[in-house]
Amino acid sequence: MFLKNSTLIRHLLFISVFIAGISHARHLVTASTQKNADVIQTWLLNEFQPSTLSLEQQKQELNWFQEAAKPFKNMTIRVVSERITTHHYESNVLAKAFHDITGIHVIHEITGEDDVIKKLQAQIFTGENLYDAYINDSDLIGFHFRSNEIVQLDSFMENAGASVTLPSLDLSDFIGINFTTGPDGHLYQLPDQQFANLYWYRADWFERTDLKDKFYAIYGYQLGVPQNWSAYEDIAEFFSIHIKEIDGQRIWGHMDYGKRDPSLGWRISDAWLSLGGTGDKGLPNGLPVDEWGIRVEGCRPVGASTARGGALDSPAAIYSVSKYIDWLDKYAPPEAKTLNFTEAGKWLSKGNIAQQIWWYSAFTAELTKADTPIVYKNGKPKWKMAPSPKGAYWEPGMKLGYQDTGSWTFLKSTPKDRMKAAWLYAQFVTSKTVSLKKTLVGLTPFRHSDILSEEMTQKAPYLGGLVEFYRSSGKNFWTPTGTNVPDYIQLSRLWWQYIGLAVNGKLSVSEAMSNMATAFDDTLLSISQNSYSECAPMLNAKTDKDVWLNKEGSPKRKVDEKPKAKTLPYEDAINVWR
Amino acid sequence: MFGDKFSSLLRTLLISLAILGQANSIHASEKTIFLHFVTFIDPPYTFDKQEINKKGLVEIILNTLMKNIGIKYDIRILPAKRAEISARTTTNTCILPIEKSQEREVFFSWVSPVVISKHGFFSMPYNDYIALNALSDARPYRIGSYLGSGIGEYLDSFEYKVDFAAQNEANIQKLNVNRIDLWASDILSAQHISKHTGIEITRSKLDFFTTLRAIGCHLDIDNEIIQKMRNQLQAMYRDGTMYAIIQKFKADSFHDDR
Repeated sequence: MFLKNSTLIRHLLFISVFIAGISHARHLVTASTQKNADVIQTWLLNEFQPSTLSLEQQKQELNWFQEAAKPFKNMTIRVVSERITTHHYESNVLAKAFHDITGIHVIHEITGEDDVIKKLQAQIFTGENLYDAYINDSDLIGFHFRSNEIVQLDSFMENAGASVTLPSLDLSDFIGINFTTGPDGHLYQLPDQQFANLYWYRADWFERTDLKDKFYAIYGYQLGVPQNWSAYEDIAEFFSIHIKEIDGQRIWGHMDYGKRDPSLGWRISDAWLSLGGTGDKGLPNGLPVDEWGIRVEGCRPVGASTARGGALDSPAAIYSVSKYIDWLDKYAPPEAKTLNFTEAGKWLSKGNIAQQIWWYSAFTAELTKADTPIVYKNGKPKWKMAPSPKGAYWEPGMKLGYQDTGSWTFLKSTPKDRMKAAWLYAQFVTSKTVSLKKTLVGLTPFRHSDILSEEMTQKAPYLGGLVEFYRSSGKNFWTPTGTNVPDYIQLSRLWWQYIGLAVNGKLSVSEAMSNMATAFDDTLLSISQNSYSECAPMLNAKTDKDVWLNKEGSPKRKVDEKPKAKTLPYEDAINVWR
Repeated sequence: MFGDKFSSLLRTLLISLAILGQANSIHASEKTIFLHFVTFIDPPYTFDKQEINKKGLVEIILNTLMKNIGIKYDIRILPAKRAEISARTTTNTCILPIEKSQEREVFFSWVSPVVISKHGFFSMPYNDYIALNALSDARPYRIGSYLGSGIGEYLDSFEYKVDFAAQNEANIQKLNVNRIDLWASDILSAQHISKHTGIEITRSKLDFFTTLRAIGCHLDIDNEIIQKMRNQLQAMYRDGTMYAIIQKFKADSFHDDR
């Protein structure tokens, strides 16, 4: 009886412990669910406002991330990107939010753009999983689609990545999606931030009556936004040589940089040759010769030297680089020759530069900071951005400038699980839930929906023309490096090495461009020998330069390199954007 | 007839001389391939031989690489700055392991990466209250680094509170006496210094940066030799040789969650 009773008691005890356990577990699950919901709510209310989504839609997106990330909880992933405000925000704020919401720890490294590319290259070279994702410029698209090293995101999203692809990602909302799609129709990168290369000038000085009158007296036309390099040159001379000082400060009519390091190459390949008019007509980059002076037949690069049908040592290229060096010598601050991209970028906020022919809108956030001499007390900038002036060889139908999108890139050598976790993070930092806030912080808009938002309308007067540019059709005429360039990493290092020799006076511009064109041809040959791509280079035979110069299009014969100067008022100058 | 015989003999002689000359020239060019390497004390990559008489990590990597391509070499230890200048200005000389920065890019032909280093934050185990999830979490703290450290300069450029010591070894002492809160260091170096000094530190709290270090060779060195070294280095990564070498140097407490 006692035994029976004790068995009964044991059973009763067991049942009551079991029920209590279920109840406790249920309580824990409820508490955990509540905690997850609280985390989402906290981030939504404290950080991710404003948004183009309603609060409920934002919640749905974040719930989806929380659920989709479960298999990867407690994983640590590593990504790398360049050093701009947008990526600092991702690294310091969004990576933490992502960790709180999903449990995936992200180490988001920030470094120089050049270092990002070296690391990408190192992973390809070694096969080691250095990073799980890279944010690198879409300039590399020519390499990505030929290399067989990069994950095709469209295929990934449909297959292995289907369960980790955000249903509301909305690829058509990404402004730069065309830049990251190869000629084979595959998507190789997901845009994360976008910027354009534009003309930058001190609107407050250009509007001053005394300066306008003096300019007219010297040059015989109105001081305004330069439409060609002749006018830009006059304005540079006007401020550097004739005005020299404003409010007791030495000022300059031009700013650039000339230090012989990799960033020197970007200046030339992004801007000088394309607006100088080196390539052919046709968007996005000129066909068959692009702004790098590389000719293609079909999808195969066939040469960069004029002797092979390219234009890298053509009169237009020599003119472009000559102007770059001439103006750097005559009109920029003496220090400019010793500066690189990052160092030179800090000069505009000092308030002593009147205009800069090439300026990256990625620095809008830096140049709208309240405590600088280039911003009014009411927070509006004293400067404006406008289309860059065009060189003597430029013709209607050619690209109007450089634009690029820093984009998420995944290597095939990354283990699949790690890639999936990184893909979730990439989608999180570009999701509509966070994108408008990120855009307002970093000012590198990458979604149509954000740029068209009411918040951006309100912000527009404080951004010097950024919103107007991205709302216009003008953005379609500013393009990144194109697919004529089969290997950006190998070819881009030639730019700065040869141009640097010309800047230092060790070679004439003509010699430097001729040597560089030969080096390009040699590199194209080397790429062709190591590639199985059907779009690998296949060099044309060398022939007399005149054979090519006598044909239509690029390479072009020498033209009048000092056409009549032309300026326009700001409102008319930005008409090209409308 | 005589003329024919003479000219035939002469032709044979000339061909023989040419072959002999070519053979000599090949032999001469093989003989001239001898590279000088310079490095600097940076344990455990290169040890101060007066303290630890064994090969450091980069010396083992270099030895394997050069042996596999059959090029003879010697290696000297110099102060870091002198080593760099020496490789820039002396023909047939290479330096390792140095960071391939934008500023340096132009001065060398590169074989990279010879070392892939992760950098982390360390603190004392008895003072282990700092939790780091992102680099910005380190902002309130005093961070120790050393003069000439790329990673110290990196943090300094973001306006972190960096306290530079003359040498990396000094940072573990500074951690120990609470003069800094965190020590930012290459992980292998920190672990080596910890073992060498007998001062225990935490595992890396956050591996916040990766650097690639390379062999930088004098620009006059034949591109074919550089290419040979690159190809061999790539083969060593691909066949697991590099992984095996590096494992020997990983301390037991190395923090790696992969």
